Amino acid sequence: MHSQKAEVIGCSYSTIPTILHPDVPYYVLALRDEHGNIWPQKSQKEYRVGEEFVLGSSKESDAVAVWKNKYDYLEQIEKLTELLGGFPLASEMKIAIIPTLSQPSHAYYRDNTSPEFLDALLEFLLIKGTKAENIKVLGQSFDSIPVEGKAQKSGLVAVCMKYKVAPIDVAKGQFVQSRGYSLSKEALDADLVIAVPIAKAGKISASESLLQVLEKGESLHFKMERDAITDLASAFPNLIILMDGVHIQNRQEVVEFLGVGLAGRNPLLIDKVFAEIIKDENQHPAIKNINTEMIKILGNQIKDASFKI
Amino acid sequence: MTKFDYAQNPWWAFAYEAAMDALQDAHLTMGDIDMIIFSSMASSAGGEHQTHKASLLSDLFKTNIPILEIPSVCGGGGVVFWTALHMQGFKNILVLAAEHLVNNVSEITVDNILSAAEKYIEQKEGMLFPTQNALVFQQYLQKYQDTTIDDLSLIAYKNHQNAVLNPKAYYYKRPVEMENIKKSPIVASPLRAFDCSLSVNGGAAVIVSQDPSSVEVIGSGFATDYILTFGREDFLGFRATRLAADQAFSKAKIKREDINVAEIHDAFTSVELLSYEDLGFVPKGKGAELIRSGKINLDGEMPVNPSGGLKAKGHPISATGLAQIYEITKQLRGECGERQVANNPKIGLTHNIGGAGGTVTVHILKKR
Repeated sequence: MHSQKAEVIGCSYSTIPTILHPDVPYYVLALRDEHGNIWPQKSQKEYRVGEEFVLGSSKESDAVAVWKNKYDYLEQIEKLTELLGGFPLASEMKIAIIPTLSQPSHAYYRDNTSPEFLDALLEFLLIKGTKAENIKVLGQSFDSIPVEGKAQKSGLVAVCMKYKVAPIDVAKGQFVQSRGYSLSKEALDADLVIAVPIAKAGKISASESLLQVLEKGESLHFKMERDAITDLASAFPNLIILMDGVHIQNRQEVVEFLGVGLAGRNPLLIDKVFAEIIKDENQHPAIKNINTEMIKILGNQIKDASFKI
Repeated sequence: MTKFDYAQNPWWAFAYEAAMDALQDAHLTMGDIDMIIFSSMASSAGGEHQTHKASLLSDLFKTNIPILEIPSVCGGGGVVFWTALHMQGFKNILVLAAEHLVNNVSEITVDNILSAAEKYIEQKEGMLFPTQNALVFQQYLQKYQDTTIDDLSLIAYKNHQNAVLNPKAYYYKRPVEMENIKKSPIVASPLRAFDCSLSVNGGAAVIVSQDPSSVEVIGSGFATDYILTFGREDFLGFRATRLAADQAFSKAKIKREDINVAEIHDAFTSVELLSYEDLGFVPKGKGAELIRSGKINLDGEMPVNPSGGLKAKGHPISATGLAQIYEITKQLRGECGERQVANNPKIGLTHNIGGAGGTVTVHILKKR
């Protein structure tokens, strides 16, 4: 049940640092929607009882949505897209999905986008009226292991089969030029490209996800620098990034629970917000100097979602 | 039971001390015990790795009798006592609980305690136990506007005054003035530090015997509930307390006014106030009138928490429920010295909560 607005019915000022919430003080609000549902919400801002609580949404390119999952992946994707002001989905729209697909490993290693996240995204798209035959899941391998093997082991192929969606090895298709980059025709022909990287500590996963549809030679020599990434992102006419940050790898590649999803149109800003959420003290050079205060953060603020990984 | 404090013994040392105290009190030896029922949540915390506690207790007590472990967080003591009462075929059951949960890093202690509550909807949004009870009490204050935050200070003051007289309590001979309670730091508004119970280490033990003794259990209730605070139909109290109390009073065939003394689960002062209502001692919204009346002070008609309660005696999680049984038993026997309830109490009640109303037991004890 979607709520349009929420009223603050309680606000408590909390002062005790804990492992889950080391930064104090903060507020916890009790919110009630028009259906009578009541839930707690962490906030850096004090509210008065009776005030309306608005999460807000924005279609601006510098906006990054952050949402701590409460129920399941579908709820997270619905909330992230809502915070980004939604995007029009018609039954005839062609949609290209780009997951992270880097290792032939089981989903529990979280090397690749989790099958649960892709499953929820496909369910969301079909609920919104998109036809399965118009959705393609794109990937390619940059090493000697075939992408089919990685997709099979990661569980992503099974999800594609469940929804009768085509998994495509873009290396076997055509590449065309866009703003000086040789990109998969499958991606450029799509009305909407949805990158669904999995977040990893110490990496810039949202930015790296775009390389999945860049021609192999260019991809291997691509310099992960701020300007180059910005330029590459602009080569995609209609790009949305939904980043899976529920179970993620820490710097030692051990999986930890973070429970957040991030979304936006600018991969660098998403990577920056993620690095701040996990309190990464050794950030990738491409994002290190980005001023977080210049990013319009929607949904949960960095301090509300932060957890040292 | 052991003294409740910050002694850094392993949980099994507290268990051993409490068990020996109970055996001595009952004039029994371990050879007379034919079953142990145990509760704890602490063994994996504080570097005590062994979670296979039954085998450790077997070694500790040099026995091969059945040892049953039932963790139920803060309600563990009450749950193991309830279980022992419902066991058949055993003559003397040692009911035991012990915790070494508090060591020197408070964040870790808090994190261990939080395993008693819901993580994804509540804790990740900062709704930890103090905040949860704070938000609930805010709603209570909005609904029952005659109640004030000063009523909670009265509860804290009462329990601290009682603990000063209890040698087993952390606050024994450590009086706290009302002014200090009212000016203590905010933990989660409107709750202050002195509205919160005291996490300590310790152990408690009770022997449930088929042989007649000076105190008998005449009523016993146990109920469970969903713990998401705002997912409940009525969150200004605990349904499981109401259900468990109704079961216990129904079995005991007595009325609320027959209770002479009670130990109520005051994890927060607000929980004690709400529990007056859930247990049926006063109607909904009238909890404040009860504390203001003085009837539940040590010299009142029905003293509540003569031990000092979780608030000032201390709250070693699973051991709390059994410490309540210990206190009421001692009160009914007239063995409580300076904190002895007057007028020869004959019937006492204990109320133990696990999590935010997730598992609740209520027991009624009567002097033979």
